Amino acid sequence: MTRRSGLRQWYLETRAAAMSWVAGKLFTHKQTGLDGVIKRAMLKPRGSGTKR
Amino acid sequence: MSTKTKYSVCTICDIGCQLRTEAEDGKVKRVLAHDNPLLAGNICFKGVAAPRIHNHPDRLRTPLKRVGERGADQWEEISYEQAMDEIAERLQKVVAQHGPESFAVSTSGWNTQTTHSMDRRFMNLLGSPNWTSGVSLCAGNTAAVNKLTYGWFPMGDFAEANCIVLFGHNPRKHSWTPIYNMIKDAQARGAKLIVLDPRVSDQAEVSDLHLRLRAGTDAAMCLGWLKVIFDEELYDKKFVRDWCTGFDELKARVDEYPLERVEEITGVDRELIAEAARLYANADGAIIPWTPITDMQISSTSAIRLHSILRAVTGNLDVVGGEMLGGFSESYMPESELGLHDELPLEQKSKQLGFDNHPAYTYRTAEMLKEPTEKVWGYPYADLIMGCHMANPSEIFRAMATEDPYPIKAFFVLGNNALMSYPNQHQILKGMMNQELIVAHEIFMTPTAMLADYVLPGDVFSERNHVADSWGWMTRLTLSQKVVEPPEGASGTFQFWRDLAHRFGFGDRFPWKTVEDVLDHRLSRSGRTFAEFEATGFMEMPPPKFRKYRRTGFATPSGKVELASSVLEELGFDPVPYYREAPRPTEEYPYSVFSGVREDPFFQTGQRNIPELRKRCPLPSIFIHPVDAERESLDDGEWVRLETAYGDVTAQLAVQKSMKPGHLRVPHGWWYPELRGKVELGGAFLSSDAVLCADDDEFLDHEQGIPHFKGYPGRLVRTEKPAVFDALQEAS
Repeated sequence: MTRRSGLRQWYLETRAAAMSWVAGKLFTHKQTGLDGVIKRAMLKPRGSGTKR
Repeated sequence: MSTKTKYSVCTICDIGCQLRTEAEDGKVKRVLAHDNPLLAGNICFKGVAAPRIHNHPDRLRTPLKRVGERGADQWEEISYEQAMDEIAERLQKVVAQHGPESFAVSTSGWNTQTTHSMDRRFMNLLGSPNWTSGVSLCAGNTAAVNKLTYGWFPMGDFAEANCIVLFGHNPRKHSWTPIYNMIKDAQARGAKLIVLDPRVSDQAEVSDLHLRLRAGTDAAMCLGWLKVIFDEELYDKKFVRDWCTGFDELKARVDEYPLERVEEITGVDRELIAEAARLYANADGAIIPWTPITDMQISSTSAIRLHSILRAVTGNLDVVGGEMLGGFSESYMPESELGLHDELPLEQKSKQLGFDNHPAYTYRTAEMLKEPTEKVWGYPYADLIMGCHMANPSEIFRAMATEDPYPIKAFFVLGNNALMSYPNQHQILKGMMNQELIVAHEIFMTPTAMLADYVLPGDVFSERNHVADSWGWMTRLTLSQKVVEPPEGASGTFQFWRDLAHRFGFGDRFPWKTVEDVLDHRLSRSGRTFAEFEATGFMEMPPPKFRKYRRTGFATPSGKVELASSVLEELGFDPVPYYREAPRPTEEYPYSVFSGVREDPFFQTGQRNIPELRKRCPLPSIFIHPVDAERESLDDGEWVRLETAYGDVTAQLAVQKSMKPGHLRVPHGWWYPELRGKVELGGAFLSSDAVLCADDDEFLDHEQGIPHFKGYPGRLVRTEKPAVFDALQEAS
């Protein structure tokens, strides 16, 4: 940790904030629009908890 | 047939997994994984069993009033309105006779979820400071102690950390599941894992370094790590110079702990201690996540502070891959504000039990941190994980039993089996038997509820709306939706406190009629209603902000990370962390007993009445190493009695190589719902670990007054299978 340069620290912070913003936009909504399409594509059917 | 599926935040344990709940024709049918791929793995068999819990035939559905002797478990059904009228009248009588401080509350926000700090609000308006909770031993106390050092309780950045240190914590697939998943993901991308645990735990098995320290020696181990970090100059000198106070005092204390001494105390080879310290300090982003183990030790305050100090001096505070200081949500009013802590007069705050003797998480400390907290975080009372302005539970139960320093005469428990949730269960029982009014708000009849005058049925997560904010810890907001109606006689804890407040004339301070009204109020900060929040998404995650201290400083009196705590010094305690030895095993009690252990199927004292979960762990076991078992001439599966100077627990012996020799491990919270009516209080005194540990000062952490659950003297005695367990098998 102590060996991070100021520039690297800035890069990591900017990247983390950007990733969080993108995740907040894409993956916090319900099953509609792009969010729904991505979720349906990524979530495997067997991911469900209980089976009928 | 109508089917509805909604988003939920599970409250069957303390982790709050985001799930979905499906209902058919008004009845919870099943619980599903979340439809967000990033959250879908966060589900355990307790969550899956939620429909069995929510639809259980034994769920309390009608308010009950005691008709027999206290604890006889004899009741008459009454209406909710009658119950609330009588409770209000009797509480008013107690308060008039003994003062508002004679009213105490013990609750669990994990179980009740949607109190919205209305309990604190009511108590503060009434004038009682004596609120406590299981978080006084677990997480809440950690939050309060973290605030002493840098003014907030950080959350580890698992997604970016390159080293994770688990002090006894053992997240598994079915316990603390999201943490388990995050650790697994971190390891998959190359992060190192260091586990400090006397036994070979699940996490220890997959760790890069495993330090099998003697139970209860976390503080000494941390001092040893700091010795290596300081001697080898592995700390962030610039951060320490610019943002820390008390380095010289800390270093002088650390120098008292050369590795030879730490090896002697902890039982871990000095080379391994040094290797772990180097791995942690050299990692490009390292975290020490919260652990329930360091929470409950005789040197707990020092050990928690040492975790904080390690985070700070290695430059891991509020940086990517380190420990994030979140602050209050900008869009959701925190419970800290709803609780109206500023309206409780200082005179009443100073009557809080624990205020004088063990003040670390009481109002006494909160008052000292008010100004810096407001300056940095925008509000003077940061009640994180409900744990920063609490009364000390042992002092409450002592006052209930002995009326010293003053009587506690009315005791309310909400979602909390208090009898079995704190040390010295015998004293808790004595205290409860000495009450004029006990009210329990529960979903099932518990041993504690059996001792009550009134038992009110509670609701469950599928029956209420909520926006969860991790009890003020994080800025992330998560949606939990009502999918079915609660039983007609049930109430949420918000409703209970609101209805009680109106009977006390506090109606103008409780203007909300429903929990949705309170959610609207809390969300109004961002110009939304609950309906609008619910209509758009299931989660809100504001982008993180890092190194915020550069603008605001830290929320401590000095504005810096206090390696030597000015607050502790002013309170009369050692400002620098230290190690205190717990009572060692003796010839009479030769083992070190480690209690408070969580088993996967259960959360605390709950769920023993759920067959799907109980079959995974039908009876409690006491764990022992084969070498010790051989010395005692005991075999796996034999019935034994674990005895301490304070009580005993009967269970079957489990001989496991993973145990550390000289140690015994006891699971937490065992009672037998199926023995209700056959054995006193459902067998609450047969196998409960809360009878084993005393709450005398000798066993308490000085600053917080919490018990030493991790390594106290005990012995094993072979016994016959108790007849009551035959009855148990018949009942099963």
